[in-house]
Amino acid sequence: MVCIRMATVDDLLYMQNANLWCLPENYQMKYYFYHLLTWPQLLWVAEDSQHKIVGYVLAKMEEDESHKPPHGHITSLAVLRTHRKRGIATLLMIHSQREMRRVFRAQYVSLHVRKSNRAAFHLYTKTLKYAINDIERGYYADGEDAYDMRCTFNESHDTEKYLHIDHGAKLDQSAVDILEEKLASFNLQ
Amino acid sequence: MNNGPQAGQKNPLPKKESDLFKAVVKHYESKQYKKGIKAAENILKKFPQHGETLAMKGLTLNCMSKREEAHDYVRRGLRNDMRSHVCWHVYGLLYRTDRDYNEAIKAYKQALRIDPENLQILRDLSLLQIQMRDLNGFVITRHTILNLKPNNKVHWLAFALSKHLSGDLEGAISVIDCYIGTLNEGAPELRRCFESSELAMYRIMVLNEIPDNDKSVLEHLEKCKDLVTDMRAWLLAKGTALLKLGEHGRAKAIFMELFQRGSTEEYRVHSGLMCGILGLDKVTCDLAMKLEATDTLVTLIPLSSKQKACLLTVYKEVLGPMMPRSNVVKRIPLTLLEGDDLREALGTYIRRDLTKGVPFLGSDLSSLFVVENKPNGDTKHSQPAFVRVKDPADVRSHPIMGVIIDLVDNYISSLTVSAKYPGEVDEELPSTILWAWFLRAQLHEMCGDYTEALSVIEKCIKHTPTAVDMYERKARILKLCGDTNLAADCLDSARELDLQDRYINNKTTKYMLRANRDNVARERISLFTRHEGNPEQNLYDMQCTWYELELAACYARKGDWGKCLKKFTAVEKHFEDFHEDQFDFHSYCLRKNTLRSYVEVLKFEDNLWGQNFYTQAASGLVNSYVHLFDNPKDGRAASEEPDYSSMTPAQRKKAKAIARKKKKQAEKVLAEKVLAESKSKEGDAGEKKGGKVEIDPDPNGESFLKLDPLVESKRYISTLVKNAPRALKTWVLSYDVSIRRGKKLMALQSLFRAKAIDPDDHEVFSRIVDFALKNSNATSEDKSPSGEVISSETKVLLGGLSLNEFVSTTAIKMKNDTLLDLPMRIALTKALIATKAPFEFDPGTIIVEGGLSARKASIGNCREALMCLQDLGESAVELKEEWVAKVRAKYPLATDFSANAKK
Repeated sequence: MVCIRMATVDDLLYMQNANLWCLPENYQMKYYFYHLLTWPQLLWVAEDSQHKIVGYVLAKMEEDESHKPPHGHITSLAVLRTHRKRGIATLLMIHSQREMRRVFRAQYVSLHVRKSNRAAFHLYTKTLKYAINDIERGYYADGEDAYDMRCTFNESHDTEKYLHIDHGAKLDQSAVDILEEKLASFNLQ
Repeated sequence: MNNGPQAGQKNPLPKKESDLFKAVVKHYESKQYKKGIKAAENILKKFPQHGETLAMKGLTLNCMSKREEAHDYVRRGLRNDMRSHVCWHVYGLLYRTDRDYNEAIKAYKQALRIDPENLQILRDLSLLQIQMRDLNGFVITRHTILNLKPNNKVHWLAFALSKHLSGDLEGAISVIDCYIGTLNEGAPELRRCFESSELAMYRIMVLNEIPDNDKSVLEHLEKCKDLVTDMRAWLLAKGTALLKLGEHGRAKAIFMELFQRGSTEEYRVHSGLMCGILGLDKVTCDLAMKLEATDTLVTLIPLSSKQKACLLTVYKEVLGPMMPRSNVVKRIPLTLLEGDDLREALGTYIRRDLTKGVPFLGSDLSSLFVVENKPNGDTKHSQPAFVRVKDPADVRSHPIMGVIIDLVDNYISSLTVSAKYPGEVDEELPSTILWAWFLRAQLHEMCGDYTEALSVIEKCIKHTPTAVDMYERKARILKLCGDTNLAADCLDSARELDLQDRYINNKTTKYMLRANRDNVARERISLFTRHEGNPEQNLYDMQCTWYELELAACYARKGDWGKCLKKFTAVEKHFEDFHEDQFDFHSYCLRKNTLRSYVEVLKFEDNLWGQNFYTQAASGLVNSYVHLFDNPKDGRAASEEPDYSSMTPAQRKKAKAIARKKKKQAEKVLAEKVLAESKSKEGDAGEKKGGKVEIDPDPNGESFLKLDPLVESKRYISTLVKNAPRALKTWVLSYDVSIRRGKKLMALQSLFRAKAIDPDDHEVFSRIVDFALKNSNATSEDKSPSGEVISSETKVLLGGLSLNEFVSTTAIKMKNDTLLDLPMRIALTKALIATKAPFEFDPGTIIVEGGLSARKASIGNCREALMCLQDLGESAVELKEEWVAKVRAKYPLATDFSANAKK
């Protein structure tokens, strides 16, 4: 059982720890503070029943490019190897992207991925519908190229179709009525 | 932003020099330090005593890493012009860069006495005041700034924030409202955008901190709705307020809306809906909305079967169909069901994940092992009704464990025969049985049956020799079996299966350290650090705390105390940096409007030294220093001269010759290292221009061995007492240090605090006995007031009994507790021997009879028990042998218990 929720400041040390356990690209705490204090709605964590942070997404809005429409960027995403296969990475991404759109009116989101990282590439293209925008030669410290990938938001990102893949509820006003109807048979007081 | 001091008006210079002075300030601000120095020197040629110029030259020098010269100039400047606010401001800035904030504040205040309305200095002062949490001073300074410049939004927010932080919540609200009142209709700040949303929600946050203010919170939520972009936070706040007001119907609709918006995997939202459905009281709702991680209402309070049935209907018939892909919606019913229904639901849940190959299914299920919570002494903090059990002694007898084992065994036999689940038509993939075995091995492990666990995981590896997860599980089991070396090797072979995976590489590193193989560990972890430079330095730069803590513990086991202290202290340094990190955000967040997060960060920083990583490092440091105090010989650095006086002249001559040789060799190695590093630096051209080769002057941490161990310990203890007062280890360590410092009253107080946290803990018990023993002789003669207090309070600590009675009654009481943990059994045995308290059995029987099936019977504790039995000497030889035989049967891999092992 894993809880997917917005990160708080108390998670940052453990996000940093998860990052150091999963990825070769690491950051000092100040960079995590900076993200939280600028775009608090874009940091999400997966927490297990023992209160351990087993996955996180660190994301931001790109600010310097004034000529471009507002858009987000995924700084870092990781899930501990022990906690794979439950779609945690997908959920983290979807939650952060949704807030990008809702809170910051982002029109698209971008990220970098190692050319050799097949698993991540699959997640971004197949599950999350990213497309390659560009190739950045020697982007990583060890000289590896990166795919610059992009996912443009559209109406479906807020509708039922999109919600279907992110475990969201198919719900309308009548759902509350159904709930009340079911509850009517229980006299709890 | 203009950070530099402003040119003074007093002691005016002639036009030419005055222009030059302006240039000095400008160059300082634009970081053109060399030009600045030149201009300053031009002024000083004519006016060598000009205070402000001297001060500015000093400030510039400080930026050029010439700290001592800088201090000298700034001080001379100030001496020559004590009435210049510039000189005082510079003086403050200098202290600020030295992180001596108290001195800096004094200097700024002096500058403001001369120039009370200087905005720059006021702003700098306010930053230091918030950094130092001088909240009252911060309010005053922010008020002054606002009065000087009321047309700046930032100043309004800063003043509101200062009121909030100093506890004047209503005041903070009215400042925000005043600010909004100054805006013209149609101002962009009144339209819906990120900034207005953040401010509105910050206002709600403050309103929420006023006790019993839910009604007002609700009203204001409605009022600001059109401004808010962070609707998730808005809905959560509204749902919580409605629950606390008893408006359960409206609350339910809000939590349903949160589901609709996608917050389906957040357990808090589920607890909120449950509270609404069950119509619970305000206090319970409040607690439920503060639950963390995957905890829900179900473990917070005991639910009636009717309440459970109601929630189940909702999950099954309403939420299930609505959120078919939500894992939480599938998982929560498992906490509500009983009997056959539970068995069926568990079966469905487990089969799905075995087919998918979910590695953490076992740990997911383990959170179902909950029992009723026995309330301890702590009445201040509310306790959940149910708590999770983890010890094999409790888990193996838990009814749900029985159900799970039965299910999984059924699947395994069916899959073995037909590759199908029982009663199913479709064949499963070959991986399904692999994951079923994997889970079965883990279940054995949870029950403490390590031999069985090992044989099942072997089957997995035979089935799929390329699956990394299997090796990881096997390594863990091997570690629990007591063979850390084999465990480390097992992980190393898993690592070779996936060289790209940092997780498995780190895990190998960690296990290598546990096996005291720090050199291999360093090689492994270096595979994922930056390629240039020293890996250890890279890990330090990236604040890789877990590694430093593990490495320090490894050095402690190896008795390499200098390096151990050095690594633990590295963690402490990270925390100093984390504390410093907040500085830049004091002005940043006011501009960004992210006040909610900012206030949370400030609170986090206030409690920084209570964070787990820090308390681990601090406890490690205290334990090490206490060891060095007790064993001063161990603190002698390798490079130090041995004790020649105790040697014969011939021995002395030989020893000195060896020492000389060693020293020469060490110097040679260091010289080669420096050469090699300087070469490699030249290699990556342009990376760091003029970067000095960083050589660690104290790679072995010998400087730490020269410190006074008790003085150092005392420093860490006071930090722990202040920041982690609810942690048992704080008071245990505080006792250890106080008693060695001869501070009996403090030692006594620590024991009372520890006992209040956990009266049944072995570390507390053994220290109570230790204290009473130490004082049984001393206090009878000590007629001083403190001596009398100590003897009367010791009696209270012993529950009004004599020491012997205390030990005897505890032993008799505990003898009947079959699950009594092994460490407590060891402590009891030791206490019986030390006090010679009457006891009708042989003290060692407390360990040997039932000790292995008791709680905390890890291999490490079994070793402790063996040492204790060995200390009993001749009288307990048989008991000792009985113990060895028992342990060997349970831990066949523990070589030190094997038949031919020497004691």
